[in-house]
Amino acid sequence: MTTEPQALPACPRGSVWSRILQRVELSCCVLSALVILMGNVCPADELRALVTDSCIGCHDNASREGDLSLENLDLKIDQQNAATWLRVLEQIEQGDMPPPDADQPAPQRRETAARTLEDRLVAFHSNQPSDRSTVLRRLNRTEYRNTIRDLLHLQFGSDLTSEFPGDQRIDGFASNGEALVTSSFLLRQYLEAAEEIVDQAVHFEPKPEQRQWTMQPPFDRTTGAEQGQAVAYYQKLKQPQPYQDICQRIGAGGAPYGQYHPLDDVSDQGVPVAGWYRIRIQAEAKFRHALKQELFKRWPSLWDEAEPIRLALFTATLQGIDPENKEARDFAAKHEQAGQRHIATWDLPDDEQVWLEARLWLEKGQFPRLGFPNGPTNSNYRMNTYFSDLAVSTLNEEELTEFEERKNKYGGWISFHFGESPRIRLYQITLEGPINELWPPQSHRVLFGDETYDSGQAEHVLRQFASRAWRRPVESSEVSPITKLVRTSESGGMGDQAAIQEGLKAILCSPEFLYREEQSGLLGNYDIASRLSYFLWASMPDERLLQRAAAGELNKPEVRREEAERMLADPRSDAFVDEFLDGWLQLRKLGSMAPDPHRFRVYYDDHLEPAMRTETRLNFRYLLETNGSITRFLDSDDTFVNQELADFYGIDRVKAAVDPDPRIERFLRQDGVGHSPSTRFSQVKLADRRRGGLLGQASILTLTANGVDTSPVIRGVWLLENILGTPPPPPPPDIPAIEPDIRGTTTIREQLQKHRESTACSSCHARIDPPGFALESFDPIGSWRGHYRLKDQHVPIDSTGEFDGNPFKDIVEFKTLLLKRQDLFARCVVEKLLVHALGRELDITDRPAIRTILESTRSAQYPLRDLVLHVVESPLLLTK
Amino acid sequence: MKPHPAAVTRRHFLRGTGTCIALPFLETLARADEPSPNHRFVCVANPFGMIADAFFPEESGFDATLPENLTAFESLRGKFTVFSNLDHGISGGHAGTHAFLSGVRTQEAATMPDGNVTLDQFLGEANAGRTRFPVLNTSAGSNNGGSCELSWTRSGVLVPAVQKVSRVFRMLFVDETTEQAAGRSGRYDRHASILDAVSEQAHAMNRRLSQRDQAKLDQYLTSVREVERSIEQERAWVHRPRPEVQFAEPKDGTVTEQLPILFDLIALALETDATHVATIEVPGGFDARGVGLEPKGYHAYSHHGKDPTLMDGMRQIEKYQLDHLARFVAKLDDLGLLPMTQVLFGSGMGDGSAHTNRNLPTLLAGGGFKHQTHMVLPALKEQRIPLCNLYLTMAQRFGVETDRFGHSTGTLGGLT
Repeated sequence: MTTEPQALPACPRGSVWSRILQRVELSCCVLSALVILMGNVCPADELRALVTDSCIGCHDNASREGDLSLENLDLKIDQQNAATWLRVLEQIEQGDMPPPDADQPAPQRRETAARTLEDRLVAFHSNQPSDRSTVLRRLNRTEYRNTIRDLLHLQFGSDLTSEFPGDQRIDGFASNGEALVTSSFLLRQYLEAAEEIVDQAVHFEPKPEQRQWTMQPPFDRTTGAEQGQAVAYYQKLKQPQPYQDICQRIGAGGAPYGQYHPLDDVSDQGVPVAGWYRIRIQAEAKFRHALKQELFKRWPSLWDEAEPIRLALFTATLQGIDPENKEARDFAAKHEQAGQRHIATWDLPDDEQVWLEARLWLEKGQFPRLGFPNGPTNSNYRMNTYFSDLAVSTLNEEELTEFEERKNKYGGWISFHFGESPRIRLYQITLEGPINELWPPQSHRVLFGDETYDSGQAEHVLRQFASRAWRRPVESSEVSPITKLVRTSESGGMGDQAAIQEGLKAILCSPEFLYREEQSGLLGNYDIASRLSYFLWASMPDERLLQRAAAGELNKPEVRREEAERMLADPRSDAFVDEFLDGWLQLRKLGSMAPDPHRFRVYYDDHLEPAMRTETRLNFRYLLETNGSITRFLDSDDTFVNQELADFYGIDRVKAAVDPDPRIERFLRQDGVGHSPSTRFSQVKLADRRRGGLLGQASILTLTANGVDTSPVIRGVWLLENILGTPPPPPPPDIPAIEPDIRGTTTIREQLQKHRESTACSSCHARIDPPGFALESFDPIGSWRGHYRLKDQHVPIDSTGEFDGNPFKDIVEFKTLLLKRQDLFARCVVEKLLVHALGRELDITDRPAIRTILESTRSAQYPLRDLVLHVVESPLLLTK
Repeated sequence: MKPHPAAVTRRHFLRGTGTCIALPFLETLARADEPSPNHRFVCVANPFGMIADAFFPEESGFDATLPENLTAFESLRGKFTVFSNLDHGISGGHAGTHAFLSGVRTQEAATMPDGNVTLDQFLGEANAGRTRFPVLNTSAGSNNGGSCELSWTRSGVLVPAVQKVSRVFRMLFVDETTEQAAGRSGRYDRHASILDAVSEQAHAMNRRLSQRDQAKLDQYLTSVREVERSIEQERAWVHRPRPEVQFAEPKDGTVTEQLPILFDLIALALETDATHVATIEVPGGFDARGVGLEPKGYHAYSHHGKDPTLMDGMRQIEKYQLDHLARFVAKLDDLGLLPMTQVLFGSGMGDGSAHTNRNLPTLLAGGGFKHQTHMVLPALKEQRIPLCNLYLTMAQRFGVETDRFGHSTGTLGGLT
């Protein structure tokens, strides 16, 4: 194996380039052996002067600070000294050297020197034989899913790729060709998925008959939660209760989340055919204000009477669960399912019966479920206590006797139904489908056109489909092995309709589909089309993009810009926002270290995880739509919250709300196809500067903690890697780990202090820890905190530190200092965009292109949309 | 449309030879009532390590006094060994635990001749075709709260573990209906034909590619060949009945409900030759309530930070695992399987609270080794012995002819 090169203590950073260089060169170059006199070979005066004036003082042969001498370093770049010079360049650029307490060179001088050095390094490396090109990229999971969707106009009610192995990520992104491996395990998944896709897409059979389910209460006979009410009603009035109530919040009782209500007329088998279905629900919100809030607060029921009562619609399935195993089926019917989809949420008007309608896609075997997402929680226990307290004053004598009887008989838990608690009252539900306005459906028509198919069309069908699936024009001869497969299947006794489907599956398993083949050197127009579409949509190019490729126009930067503008306006660009943030900020990690459900109950009760994720995505989308400066990621006076997140942050959402920018408005809806203004996100002004920017967002603060406690080291490293783009080297081996000790009075800061006293650690931790200290004011899920709770005492948080040689006392002052490093931040963002778009690690020869992007956006403080468009226009996009 | 003559494809050839090749390996098909004498391997692992003083005996050697968590092993003395100071020389905390069974982190897999293949997969490869399942990877529940990421193929892909005992049971012991079996056969045929076609496509594409891209596409071609081979192997099993067992289909449940059942199922699988290589993960979804603790997460307990209550809880969670492990080992012993079954217990995490990947808790039972209760290996950096040396020793005992595994520098002396 190769050993990690030992990083030099004085130079504790490693950008993408320097890491590559360290790997390649540092291990074989002995710095001290360089004895070529400086100035021998035409050095640029500025650079020489800067090194002489500002560096040599410490980095001469005598002192060798940080084990580095520049005294004899030749300005002519060669194999031996290139790595050292790159380190010097990064130090000059990042302003880390000379150290803050030393005299600083004038900015202009610094810049000229950096430029000179960069030019030389680039010139040197451009002539070095090395293959920097993008390695053949396989579609990652998201790309595969989206490509299938767009290729066949298919809807999927479940994740096709759920069994695929996770893709390996480099620098956070699952788009690096080298890391996207293929295994026999994955290939088998491709074979299985192809079966499912073709089965879903091709429809030679006659149009399936439309069915209608007219359901009467009780709709849900599985959960039994509200059965007592129906029984009581019948006993009292001698007729079936003409409605069914949903009284408890989804997730009442904690994980695993229960309180979903299946529609039992459909739930057992699910719908018989996949397709679009129409559901109509007659519902009414009852007793919203019936609970006495002040009393209710004694049991934190999560009920908030200021909110409208909401009804939500989900999908579920019992497929794959043993029909004999009633317990397992009931559990699955009532509880959250991994593959479930949230279709709609409605705000219900009080005491008024309304008809709600939604169209939903159901896979074969799926059925609709209903729930009360903002209902009171833990009713069994808490509301029982509440009614016990109130029974005497609210029930008449007869009811009270019955109540007491039941309480004795059943332990009392059904009793709250006697009272008037907030609830959704359901009267009638109908479901009909599958609705096929077009038959055969679009997915079939894109394959076979409107004609009936016979075996004579096989070549034509295969070539047509291959051209779309492979994202380029395809010759007949190119699909001959697949045509042969169809023919062999036919002669083996398979009907021609079945045989052609085998060919279609083969196209979906072919390397031309699964990999993005790119020609060496300068890319072809179709290659560029795919680069654009997988960058901005995580999917295949659309018709128009392919047309522009066919016209040979995509070499032109202005055409690429125009297309990118169009693509960013398309809903498919959500995939860009999601994928880029998952990679850049590691947003996908949110929830992977689940917060302790006992200490951080609110995280689950209020469904904060999706809200946190949405906040970060909306902030990104906002800057993208408004072309706002990326400095707002560092500090900002507004953000986006829903009610739960506002409560969590302590923001009065109504008071703090501003009229949202019209360009972001359509993204604020989070309620699917229903209508629920109360679940929308609002743009709010922040009262102070603690929350503004990424560093105050709960998503980031949660994903940089481990769900149990916080570590300044983890948060510090995250910031160096993803905000400043200057990741620290990995810890040297054999360093004793910090053993957390929560028994006594030592804070994590004091424990780290000991760590930092060791010289092996101090050089890196001096940079890593301070940003982490600033963030210590936020707990593992991003709540603001002033104290640590140690055993038997509260210890105030010390969030002071030093950054760039300047002291800061808290996160606010830290952000002020951070804003001064916006150039570095912009470089980091641009590098991340490029890594994602190009699918490879960056190289020193990419620097001029990056510089161009940075220089042309600096004066406007790096507007986000411009950065993305510049990446699209960049010549880097045109070479493999 | 003219009918095409049925072309003789590569597929037909492979199918013919494939079956021929497979036959000698199918000796266990004609299984008598006795379990086969072949070697078996089981790995049991957790993601958060062990509290050292409750796992490692203080003394070394055969007569070492057993610490609190190993008391259930007292009656098994001479049949197991605890190793001190074995690890992979890596760091990374949670990010290093996935290397437990390979010694290789995913990041460096590309530099290794066998990638980061784990011991179970490595042994399963050698065993392919002999049993219905070359490797059976199972887990006692969900990875909510932390995952072992235990098993990796040589191409660097994480193999997901089956998390439900009912599914494990059905895979092992419930035959498909004739219809299902015929469906499966048909599927194998169709997939094999598709693989023929795409393999041709890939060869054509290969000619257009640069050298680096060809190396990349080689993964695809290799995968095609591997799938072809495994389809052939599986095809041979489709119509063969599964072993009949006296065991009702178990119900799924929490980790503490499933773990004992899983141990029983795996013992049964080894006994009936349904598989010879299996893994059992004790996942992060461990329900502390199931061992009478306050229901915090397993991960939360592992972050005990020396807090006595949390630490005590962690000890109980660990003791629970080792008690059931001991029961499993004793059961294999009763069945006469222990001398040919290597049972490895361990974790890619050393100390869960400090997040170290050093001195990994490692226990090996059975396999016909000369066991010595507690073997203390050199602690000094210069003299440390890689855990992979133990794995190499185990692989050789299993019958694989190899002189290296992961970062091994040789075999581990003293066991044979």
